[in-house]
Amino acid sequence: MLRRRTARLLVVLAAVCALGAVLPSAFAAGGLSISPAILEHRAAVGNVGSVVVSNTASTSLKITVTPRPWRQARSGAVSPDRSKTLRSVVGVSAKSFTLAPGTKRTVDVRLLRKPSGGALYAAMEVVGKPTKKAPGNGITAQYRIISSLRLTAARARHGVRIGDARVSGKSAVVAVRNTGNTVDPVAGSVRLVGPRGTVNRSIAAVRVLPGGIVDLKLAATSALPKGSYTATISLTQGGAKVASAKRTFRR
Amino acid sequence: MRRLAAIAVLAGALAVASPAAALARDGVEIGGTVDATLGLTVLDDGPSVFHTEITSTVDATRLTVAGSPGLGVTAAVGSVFQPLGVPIDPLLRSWSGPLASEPVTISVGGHAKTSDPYLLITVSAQTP
Repeated sequence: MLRRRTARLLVVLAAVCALGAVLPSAFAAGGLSISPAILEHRAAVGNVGSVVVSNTASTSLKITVTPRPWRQARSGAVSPDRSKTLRSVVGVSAKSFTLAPGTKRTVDVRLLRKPSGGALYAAMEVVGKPTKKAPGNGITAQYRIISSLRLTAARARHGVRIGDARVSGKSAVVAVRNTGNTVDPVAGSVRLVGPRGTVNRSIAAVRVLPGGIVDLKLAATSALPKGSYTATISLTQGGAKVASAKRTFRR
Repeated sequence: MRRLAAIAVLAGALAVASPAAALARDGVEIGGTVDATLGLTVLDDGPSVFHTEITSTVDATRLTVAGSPGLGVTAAVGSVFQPLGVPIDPLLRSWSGPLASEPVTISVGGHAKTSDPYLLITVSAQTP
């Protein structure tokens, strides 16, 4: 009797396993996704690619697609400037549409005119708002996914200008302006001569918007005794040395 | 009956593993590229929490939130609550490297002061 029950239980378990493999996650909550997360293309007027917007939520989503310029903090982190759009430069085949649950839509992206400087780096903002208000706490969750649009110049130009070194928060940093037309990572090395001798450190790679200024971290202040320092900085971008400079700062 | 049960279990397991098993049997090499993806899933919401999952294949990812105007609440991942409605959306968390269904719980503090409140949960690439 016990064996029969066990056998029945095994049959049920097997059926559940099989169903789990066959059925989509009908009861799973869902959300919004976009692909590719980075759309990279030569900055030529015309079609530059497309993004696929997928609604995996259990409710319809009202989708808006908006290209916006980036704002870059001195840390290097970027966020889209929500007060501006780039619709005069970048066009999308569908600015606003409703996406049913479990469906996806391809949105074509076009460059409408050649950007100044030959390149354009922008945010592609996709917002999904549920068409039905969520039950529960009364606060409805809305989705926003921000991908990166990289429209590169026909000829890449690398270059940075090294500014002042200083202590900012818990780090010694040096300000660096990207004078080129790419967002290829800027990295390098620094030799710090201070009260207790010389230390050599690598500078972590950071992508800097063309014309933008970012603070590159030289060292944590916890590793630097108080005193005066001379930093000999060497920076590379796109696999080549682009700048070097000597800067002094006090800790 | 036991034999039947064993066959059923095997069938269930095969249903789960059949695509991979078929490819391995035929000696097919799998290759190709997959487009980078950013995805946000809200699993459920309670009175003061949103359970989410984040998928990302970009180098660095950040999670920020914004609220409807005048929402008057704070939000946190962990214990440090930050006000919404400030000019720069508060950064709740950031990651370097890819994420596969990374679970993140967003806590909301205070009571909504608007009639149609929403929380705009944002997943973005951290580098341009």
